[in-house]
Amino acid sequence: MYTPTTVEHPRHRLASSAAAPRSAGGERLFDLAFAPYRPLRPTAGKAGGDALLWEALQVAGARERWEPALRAIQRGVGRGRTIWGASVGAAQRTWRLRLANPGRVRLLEALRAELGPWLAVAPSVDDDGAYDVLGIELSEEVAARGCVDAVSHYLRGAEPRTLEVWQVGSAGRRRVDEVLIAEAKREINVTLPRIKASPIVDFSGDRSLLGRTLIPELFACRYLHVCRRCDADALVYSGINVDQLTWFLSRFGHPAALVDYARGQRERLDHLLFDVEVAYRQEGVAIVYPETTLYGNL
Amino acid sequence: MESYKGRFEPTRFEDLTVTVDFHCHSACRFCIVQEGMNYYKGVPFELYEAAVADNRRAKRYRRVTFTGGEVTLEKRLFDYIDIARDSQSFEHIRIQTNGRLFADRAFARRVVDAGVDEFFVSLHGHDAATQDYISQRPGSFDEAIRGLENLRELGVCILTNTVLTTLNEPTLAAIVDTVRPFAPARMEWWNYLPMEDYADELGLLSPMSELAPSLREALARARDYGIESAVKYVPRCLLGEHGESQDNTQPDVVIVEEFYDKYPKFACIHEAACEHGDTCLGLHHPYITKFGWEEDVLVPFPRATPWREPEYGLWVGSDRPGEGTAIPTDQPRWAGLVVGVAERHRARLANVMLQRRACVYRFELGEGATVDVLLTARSEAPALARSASFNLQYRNLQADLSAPGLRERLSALVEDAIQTVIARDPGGMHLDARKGLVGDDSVRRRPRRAKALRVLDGSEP
Ligand code: SF4
Repeated sequence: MYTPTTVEHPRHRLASSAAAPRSAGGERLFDLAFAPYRPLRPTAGKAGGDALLWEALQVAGARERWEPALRAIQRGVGRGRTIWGASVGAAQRTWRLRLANPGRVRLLEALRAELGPWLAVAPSVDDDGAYDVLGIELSEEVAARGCVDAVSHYLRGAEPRTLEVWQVGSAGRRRVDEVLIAEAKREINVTLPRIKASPIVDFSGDRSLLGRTLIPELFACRYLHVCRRCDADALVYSGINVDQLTWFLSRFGHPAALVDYARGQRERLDHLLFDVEVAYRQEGVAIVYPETTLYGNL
Repeated sequence: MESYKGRFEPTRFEDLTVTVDFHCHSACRFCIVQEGMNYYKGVPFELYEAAVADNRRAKRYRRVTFTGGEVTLEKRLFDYIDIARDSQSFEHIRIQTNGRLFADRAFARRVVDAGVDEFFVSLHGHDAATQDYISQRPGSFDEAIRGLENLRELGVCILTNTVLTTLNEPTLAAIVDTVRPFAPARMEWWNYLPMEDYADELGLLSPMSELAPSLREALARARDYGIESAVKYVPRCLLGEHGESQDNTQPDVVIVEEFYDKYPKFACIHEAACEHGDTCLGLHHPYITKFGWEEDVLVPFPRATPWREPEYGLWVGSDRPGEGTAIPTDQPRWAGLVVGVAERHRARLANVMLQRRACVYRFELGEGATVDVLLTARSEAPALARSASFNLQYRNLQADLSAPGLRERLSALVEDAIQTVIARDPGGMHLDARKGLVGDDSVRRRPRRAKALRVLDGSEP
């Protein structure tokens, strides 16, 4: 039985990953919506869901800085409930964390306690626990300041299968994303109108643009998350395999060493499903991709 | 989760295609193996001999097809033919060719006398100007036409192959007129697949808005002349009344595995809604990247049955629970190997998945308990048991084994299924164990590339 929280998932509600089936290695696997999945292969001798994170940190030269803090989360509040993300964009590399909060407990306070030795986390934010998922973003800039200024609150949206994402910090609270989650192929009639009703990309002007926003190489996934942000749209392809992941990393300019790692470790990663996010916007007649992110289980 | 649409999976058991070598005296602008010309080698002769010996024993294939490159340039062509003929294990021996060397009547006769009875001749233009421009060899059209005349006079079976690109798209129906005098048994129309030029910098990809009407006209003309057509890689819903001519199957190909890794992959945005979503490949990725998904142009055929996600990617051996099952096979011979087993154990045979390299029987025992019994080609590889044709194993066990008696029931069912297959397997049932048949030594050293393949990403105007 999954433990339902407040955000509906296409087939089952956004679930506490604590209820995810355990793989042989004892690891619980879940996707970006915290919906559990069974490993695609027997897990004996396989890499864990965090293997790519450590490698991504390593090749970015950031492992030493962040691993102790992330390990602390992994051991503490984050066990079985955390998604990590590694973003590559125009500005700087960022490391994202999302922690499920099915019981609506004061997760931020717990997180502050874990990260206390390294960082202050949104000191101006009162934690009332009124969120389904808590998100934070780490970067070199955050490390330099010693403080995460704002956190993200993920809340069930007004419509079924939608999420609202609010950024909460010293500057107040503002909505930064609206997300619709649906099965990639079976429910394309749900996601496609949403993708096309974009304030960022004019699909009516050039029909070919859809081929560069809904990426065909990634369409063979389990779920699509259609994200509407302030300055870009984004699609999350949830549940791709390791071969698609390698393609994604290579195509969107993730470090070559990480691509080589994914390729070289294919046999150790092929039991996992991955979630990847491609943000996009239109510039003239072109589609540009300001940021892409790889997600996995911590 | 890469789909069957994602990975081109050769599935036809009738035909064995042997890539003899990759050299060619034409240089067709779209040639899908042109990059390979530089570094692929053909199938090692001894592997070919082994494949024929296997067929002599197993009668797996009815036809062998020699292809390249241009196979008529191969010095050992007659050795290849002789071995196939002498094996007496193939009903037909076919050559895939540009037809140019058959302009020499003596050569044509020699090949026919050696035992080749089917000629699959490429003709990409309706006239010399078009064909010679495409092949980049002046005179190639005239040679091919003389070759076709000779073959026609020799009374062999002729088939033609036309690759659909922007270079011939306006004149496809005229090609039918050109080949009509040679009474081809079938005309095959293969939409261009970029193997290297994913961004279509050569401008060979024809938009469906232009290609589909022209192709339909050609198909109609072929039909009027009584010529059968087969179309590959064009969406079925764009073929109009000629939808039945869509045939995306491929023969088993003895070729370097890497070749298929470079094959473009396919997708259709309406896959889940379309009755033909399982067999119609839709559009290939480079096309979608360049022209879009054609979501308003492709019209799904309403499904009569619920769509189920195909078995994806790494074929079988998945521990994924039920949602990833493939389409049940309609091959009673394979289902017959385990008929009655499920009933003896108060279980249900939920699915029989027959794939190129495996046959999977999925049994359900209720309350979410499932187990797959897996057949692969008989080999010395570790297996639970072996029947005359297969290695047998079980996998994908999904059950709460703490439930009272369930472990024992599952064990009994698996044991029964295995013993039943062993008892019923008559021998000579075939699953393909040939992955890796063509080894590393079949690839010439490939020059390192300075940069990765460029993919059209829309970041350029
Ligand atoms: S809708 Fe898609 S799957 Fe159906 S026939 Fe057309 S291209 Fe093929």
